[in-house]
Amino acid sequence: MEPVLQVKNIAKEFPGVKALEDISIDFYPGECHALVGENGAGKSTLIKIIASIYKPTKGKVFLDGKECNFKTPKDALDAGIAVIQQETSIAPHLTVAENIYLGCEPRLKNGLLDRKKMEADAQAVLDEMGLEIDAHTLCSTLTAAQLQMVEIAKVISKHAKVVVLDEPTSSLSEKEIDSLFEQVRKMKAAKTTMIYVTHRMAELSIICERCSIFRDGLKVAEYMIKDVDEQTIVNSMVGRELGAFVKPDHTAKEEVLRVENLCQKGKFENVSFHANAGEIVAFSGLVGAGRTEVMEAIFGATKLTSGKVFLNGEEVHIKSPWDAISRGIGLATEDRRRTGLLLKKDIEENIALPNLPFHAKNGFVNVPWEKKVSEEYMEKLKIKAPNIQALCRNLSGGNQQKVILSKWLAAGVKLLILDEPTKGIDVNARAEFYALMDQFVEAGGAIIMVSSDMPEIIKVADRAYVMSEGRLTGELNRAEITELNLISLANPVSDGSDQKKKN
Amino acid sequence: MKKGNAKELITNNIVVVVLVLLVIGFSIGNSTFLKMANVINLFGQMCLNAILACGLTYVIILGGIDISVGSTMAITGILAAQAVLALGVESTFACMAISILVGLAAGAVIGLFIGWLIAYRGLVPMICTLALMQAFRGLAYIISGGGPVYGLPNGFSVLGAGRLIKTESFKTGIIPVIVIFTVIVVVIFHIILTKTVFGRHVFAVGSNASVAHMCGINTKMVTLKCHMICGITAGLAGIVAASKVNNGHPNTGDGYEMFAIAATVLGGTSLSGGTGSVARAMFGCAIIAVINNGMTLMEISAYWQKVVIGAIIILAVMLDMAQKGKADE
Repeated sequence: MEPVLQVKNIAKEFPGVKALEDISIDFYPGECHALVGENGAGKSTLIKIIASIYKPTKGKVFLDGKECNFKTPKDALDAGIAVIQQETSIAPHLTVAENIYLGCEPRLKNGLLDRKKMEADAQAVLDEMGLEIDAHTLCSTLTAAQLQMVEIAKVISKHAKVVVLDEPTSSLSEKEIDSLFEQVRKMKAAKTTMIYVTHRMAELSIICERCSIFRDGLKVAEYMIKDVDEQTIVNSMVGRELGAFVKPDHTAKEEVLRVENLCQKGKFENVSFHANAGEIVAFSGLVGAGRTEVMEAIFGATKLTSGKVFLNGEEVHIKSPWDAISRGIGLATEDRRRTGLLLKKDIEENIALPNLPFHAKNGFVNVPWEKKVSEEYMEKLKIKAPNIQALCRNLSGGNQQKVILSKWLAAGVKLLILDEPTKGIDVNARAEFYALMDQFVEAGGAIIMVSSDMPEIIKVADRAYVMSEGRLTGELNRAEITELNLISLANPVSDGSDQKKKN
Repeated sequence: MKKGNAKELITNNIVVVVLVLLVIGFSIGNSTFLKMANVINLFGQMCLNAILACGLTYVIILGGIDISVGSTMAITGILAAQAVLALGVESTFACMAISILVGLAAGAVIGLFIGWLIAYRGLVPMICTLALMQAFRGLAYIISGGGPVYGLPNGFSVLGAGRLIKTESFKTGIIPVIVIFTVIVVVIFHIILTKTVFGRHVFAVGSNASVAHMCGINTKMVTLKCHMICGITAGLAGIVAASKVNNGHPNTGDGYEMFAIAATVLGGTSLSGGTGSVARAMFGCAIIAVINNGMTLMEISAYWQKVVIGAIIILAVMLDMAQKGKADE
């Protein structure tokens, strides 16, 4: 059997981050090929390269043996490569039929829209799929699952050769997943090449034939699903090196933060926990469990619906990040590039930014202080850059993270919230960063670390909370933090999908 | 910006290079161009645009825009003229003080209103100020009663048309008061932008509002203040323009927003926000003044001048995009 789509030696670099390195995969017709790996492992980047949203730094993509030179995602779509993203790209104010034929509407001879043919064709595709959706319906009235089906109808109507599904089941219920899989099977039977990105191991054996495992931008293994068990896949997924860092034991001191029954409508509810000086508290869970939202709400970046926050035993009302910073809380966001650093500004400006008001004289910037503190932290944290005037966009991920840490250390924070602090950072920089975290808690600070990386939590955390679907599902002490415990607390539906597999 | 070779030095200071080339070109093309009288004239012509560009630099660094500044000028000019008439003052000092106070206050109120709409009501700056450009122009006609407010004391015209240091060869004086006033305004707003914490916050919000928010900056307040500054400079430009012709005309400042935006962009302030400088915008003002003045001296029609200014904005934006594209690769 000839592969329909091939990627050869693909590499992709962003300033400061190597997202992919030397990836080669063959995708065969009538097969569903799963891409699995942790967040930030590079799956999404590869998909974006296949869909021509990104240009690879190195390597080539072949479709039917011919090299692809697509300039835009539209070219890739026209050639038969369709991607169904996590967030649907449906225009809510158009009807189902209009969405299905968006950009390739049938026309009458006089050039006007052939609405009748469009609606009839759309209905035919929907009926063929066995869906009970009327092509005249406005998409804004459909459910998330129905929208996903419309996306698939769109792809089927275009007779795409390659269909990429990016975590299609993350927002679907059990029953909806079944009907999705039904469509996947139909497409496979029609010899479509399927690429399937997922976090749910149980789905692999149900609909996938092959899988490629990604870790830190590398493809670490490729298996035929029937030849391996789930454990092998999980092992190669998380077999991530954590570098030479040995965690010393900390003794928790006085309580720094305590929150009671935090709620934010639609995001999380009844979250209560505490963090002590001298310890690293981890927050584990799946992506979308609400951990980031809790942290942002505590930091004042978003509003709480209800709940109490106590800092050093006193109740506080934090209404803005400024309130949080002046009370000694720092937050390093998950997305360094979008919400963490001013990439086009230099190290000095970034370190100084949240601290300027504390050191200003009559509203004027204290320039000597700015220079002194930047140089001090550059030296202390061993930030690798020519000087403090180096632009942050040119730094590696590890050094960018150190700049962010510097700005909070310079602010003298007592509580540091780190959201996925080592995402996209290489092994050595990671070990270095853990050591810095350690110094901070040894000196009496408290750290809350949100991480989706279980080995990281096992290695670094003194205590861990697990969240699932907006709720706190458990608290684990040092001895209890094991992969098994973390997984079982994090999984919302450890019954349904796993059951199916055994049947 | 930092150490670099000659080529980098030129690309980073392209606006200075262009200005020098233009000056050389026009002085070859017309012998009166570099004469003292014309040079003084040239500086005088720059002033309104320079004052406007100060405030516009702030909002453009934020990634916003204000195209209502020309209409704001008309309103504040009329109000200043009416205030002077109503109070019946005659002395130069009183006229200046009153008109500056009116310019500051009216400009601040207008800027506050625009800033509130944009920062707290989430209006798109372009659309918001496009609508207000129209509305303010209408208001200017309403409060002036449809025609110019005239009959002002001579003292009112000193700010815009007066000159200091009279000599034998320059009986009317050498240094225009308007130039001194403009220099003071420019220096103040340049210092606020480069030396204060607020100035830093402007750059931070313009670079990436989410990062700024997460660093404890009240991004809405910064946006509001920038629009207020822009309103204030438009207000000051308005009173200076009224003083220049010694009346408050509802037609004042028509089309000035274009010149001021062009000057700001020529000065290297990126329309996508995050970078910019009041001082460099002055070079942009100089380029526009030199082109207008030079073309007039060479008897090229005023209609062509509009075409040229439009073309220059396009070129400046293309240059900005090309540089950004290079940086993004």
